[in-house]
Amino acid sequence: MLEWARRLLMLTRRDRERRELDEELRAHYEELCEDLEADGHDRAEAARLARLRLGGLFQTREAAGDVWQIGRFEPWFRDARLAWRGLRRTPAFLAAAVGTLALGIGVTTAIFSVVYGVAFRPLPYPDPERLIRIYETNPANNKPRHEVSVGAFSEWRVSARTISSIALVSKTGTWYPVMSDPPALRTASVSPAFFDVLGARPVAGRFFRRDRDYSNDDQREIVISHDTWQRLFGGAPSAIGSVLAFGGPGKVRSYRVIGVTPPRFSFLEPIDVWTPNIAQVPPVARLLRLWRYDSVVARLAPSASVDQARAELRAVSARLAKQYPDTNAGWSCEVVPLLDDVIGRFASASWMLLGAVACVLLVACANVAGLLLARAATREHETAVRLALGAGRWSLMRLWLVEGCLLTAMGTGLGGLVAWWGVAVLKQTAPPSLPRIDSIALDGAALAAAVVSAVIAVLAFAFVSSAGTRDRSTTGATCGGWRGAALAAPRARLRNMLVAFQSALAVVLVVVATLLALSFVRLGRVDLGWRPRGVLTMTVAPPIPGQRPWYNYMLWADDLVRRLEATRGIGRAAITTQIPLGPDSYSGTLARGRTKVQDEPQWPIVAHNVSDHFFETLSIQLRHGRLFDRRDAFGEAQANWTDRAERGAAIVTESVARTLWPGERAIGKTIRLPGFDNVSYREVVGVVGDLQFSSVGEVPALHVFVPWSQMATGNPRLVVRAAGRAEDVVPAVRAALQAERPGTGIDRITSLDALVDRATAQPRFSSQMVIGFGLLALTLAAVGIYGTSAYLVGARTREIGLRIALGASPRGVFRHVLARSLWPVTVGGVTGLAIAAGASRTMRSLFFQVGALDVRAYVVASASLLVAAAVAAVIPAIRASRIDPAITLRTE
Amino acid sequence: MPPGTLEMLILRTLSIEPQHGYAIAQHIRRISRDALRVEEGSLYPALQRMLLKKWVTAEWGTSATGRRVRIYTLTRAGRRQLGTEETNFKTLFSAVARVMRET
Repeated sequence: MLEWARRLLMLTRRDRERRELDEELRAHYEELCEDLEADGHDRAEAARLARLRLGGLFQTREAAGDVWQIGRFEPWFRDARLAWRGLRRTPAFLAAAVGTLALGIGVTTAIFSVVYGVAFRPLPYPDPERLIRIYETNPANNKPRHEVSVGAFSEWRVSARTISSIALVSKTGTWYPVMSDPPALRTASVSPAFFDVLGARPVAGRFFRRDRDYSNDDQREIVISHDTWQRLFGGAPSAIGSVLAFGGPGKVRSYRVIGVTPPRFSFLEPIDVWTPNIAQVPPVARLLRLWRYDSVVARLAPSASVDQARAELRAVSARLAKQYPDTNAGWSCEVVPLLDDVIGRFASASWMLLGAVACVLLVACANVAGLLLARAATREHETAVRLALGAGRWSLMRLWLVEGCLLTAMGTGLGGLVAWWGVAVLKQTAPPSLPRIDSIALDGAALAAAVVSAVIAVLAFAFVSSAGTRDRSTTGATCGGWRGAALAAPRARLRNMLVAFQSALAVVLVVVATLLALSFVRLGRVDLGWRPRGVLTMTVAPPIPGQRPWYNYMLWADDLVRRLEATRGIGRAAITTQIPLGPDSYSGTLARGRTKVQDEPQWPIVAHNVSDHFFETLSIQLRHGRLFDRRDAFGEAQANWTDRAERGAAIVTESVARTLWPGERAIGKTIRLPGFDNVSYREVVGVVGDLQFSSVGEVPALHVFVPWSQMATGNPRLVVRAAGRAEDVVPAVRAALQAERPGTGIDRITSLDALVDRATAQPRFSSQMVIGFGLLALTLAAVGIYGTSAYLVGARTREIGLRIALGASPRGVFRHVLARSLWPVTVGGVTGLAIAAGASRTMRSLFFQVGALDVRAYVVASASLLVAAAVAAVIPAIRASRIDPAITLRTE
Repeated sequence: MPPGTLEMLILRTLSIEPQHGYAIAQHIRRISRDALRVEEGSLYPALQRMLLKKWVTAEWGTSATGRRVRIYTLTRAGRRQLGTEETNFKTLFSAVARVMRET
């Protein structure tokens, strides 16, 4: 330890120490000379003998000085200085190598950061890997993960041993506290166990009590989010225990604030107010088994696995299906780890992005390797001299390794900046529908990714430099003369391999990018069955319902729509329970006929309550029959929820007509919506075109529409078709709402165009990224091809000059060089096409209506590679054809 | 010369009196009657190593011929080291001698 300290100290006075050693040695030398002269040697002879005995002044001084060197690393520092000087002498090489590396490492790190943040970073709950989502499933339904009924949930809660706790979450829409200009608060109702399942601790107050029955409690309790706490109460502790009144769906109710969630706590979507779920009862009520609207989250028991839980819960579902065939026949369940559920469809895309960016990194490494190889060739002479002077292979390797490390270090540093900037840009431009954007950050894991990339790069360099020194005879290069063609051959083979490698990777990326682009174009051309252009949507606070709730809602909607349609700039307006691509999905079941028959078939459907002009507002095409009008309105007779009329009207989509009455006319047929409806049966009055309502590119579900005038609810959405841009009518709509009822709360104002944009943003994001990578890889490959051809032409200048002197035509030389450059590109390209075919088959799920073997993609990839390669190789080829034999031959 | 021998000889030489490099070399040469010819170049790396290990200290002084030279003095650690090396050497020497006599 002490000795080390002294060595370090010496480092600071090394120059002085050197001088002192010099002086000491000179004194020794002089004394020796004098003694030797005294022994009778003449002066010159004495000097010679003295030098002999001292073993050369210079070496002695170096050897004595080396005693002080710091461990085994000092030669590395010396090499680093040497390498840096060497690199500074060739700024073009330095810029190209560091730039390529920085790009490769930076892009890799940035993409890794994004993908890790979205797809791999653990969820922000304790023991997140033990959290699961549970869905109901029905093969007859085109939604593989369906929301859950309270009945199934209660049964699972009571009987499942593989889960330690389970909670139900229902979206309860936007609530508006009773105050002037009320803020829109997103609410969810949750089981009392909910916060325990997620392992959250209140930052103030407490959460719901698991042992309390919230169904018969007049003063209800709510938990508010940290954000709401700050917004409404300024973060004051007195908020706990205070009372908030809401005029949301149902009557006005008061709620006592009992707790505050931690900052940024959320589940599935941001929620401002949590209410306790009152459904704690076993599934006796039929409707509780029929209505499947809710989400279920659970925590696995300590020793249980996801598979075990799935098996057990399915057994429970099977039992329910047997016990209650009318509501549960055909229904099973699915268990998904919560993280997989959150990532959703981005999971496969994230693997593809990682693969693509790895390709880019490899191309970049190959490029730098090629650059280094060319550099090694230009330094052949220097290397040979070093070897001849006795430099060991190891010390030569060391110099190159150090050079590689230096380049990598600079590349990593610069790449870090690129990554930092890239992450910032990606976070800005990433679609908001990308899950967990907030958890994207350039972090330790991403840094690790950069280090790994750097190590890969260094390994590549070490390989290249060793391949360069191997089998290198010292004599060949030292004589300098015709070193061109003969010596370049083995290295040229290596370079050609690199070019082929790059070309293959670039082709793979371009093929995949083209397939994604084609998919995206197809996605954009999908006929949704409705037109988003110019339609504005929002949620609106309904009026306080009073004694005759739906009648009041109906009158209110009528009045509101009339006001809006009278406003300048607004074409049509309507009230509905759900908007396309929106968050809600009201599902129910559909049966044929007026009355129930034994074992009748039932179909899962999406049910909508819509006011008269809904279809015109969304430009949904009427195929047969008529749309809703005054004929469908009920009178005051059925003014209350409980008053039932005998029959009502319904409009169905073509799929419904086709499924229920194949080959028959649907108009005039009767249907029932068991559990959903307030009439005994409905008559189909119209058939509209099929709709893609919950996602773009889906198989259309069965949709049934009932008139708002027959069944109005307290959860209204407003849709407005503007004459021009949707956003332009926002002030007019606001004004109309305020005129109708001052202080009306509005939330989630958005255009349908924006929703479509959002729904397709994720595939667009991935395809844009991969297209970018494809172009980057193609550019890098072109640079590599240019470098190789230019190097080959440079190395063979004399040979080509000689050929021209012997009568080769410039045209022939041009063709020859071009062919030589394009040969490895062709080999690599063909290999790449084969790899791309295999790779794209494995990611078929990412393509939309485009086959993995779509010829267009392969043609585009081959053509773009050939064009890029030709452009890159043409310049060296022209240079070769213009070689003046007289000049080149004279230089020898 | 086996490794370590040079150090031992230097230590022994310096145990008589502090000396400068050239004098050390001359001393070893003279005492061994020219049998041990110190490669004088290797004397200095050895001295540097010994300085680093604090077996000797160095001070600038004047030689008999009036030149500015570094004079090396044995430290206590150096004397201890000389002791162990002498013991080791004697053990080794007598062992080798025994083996040579036996055969």
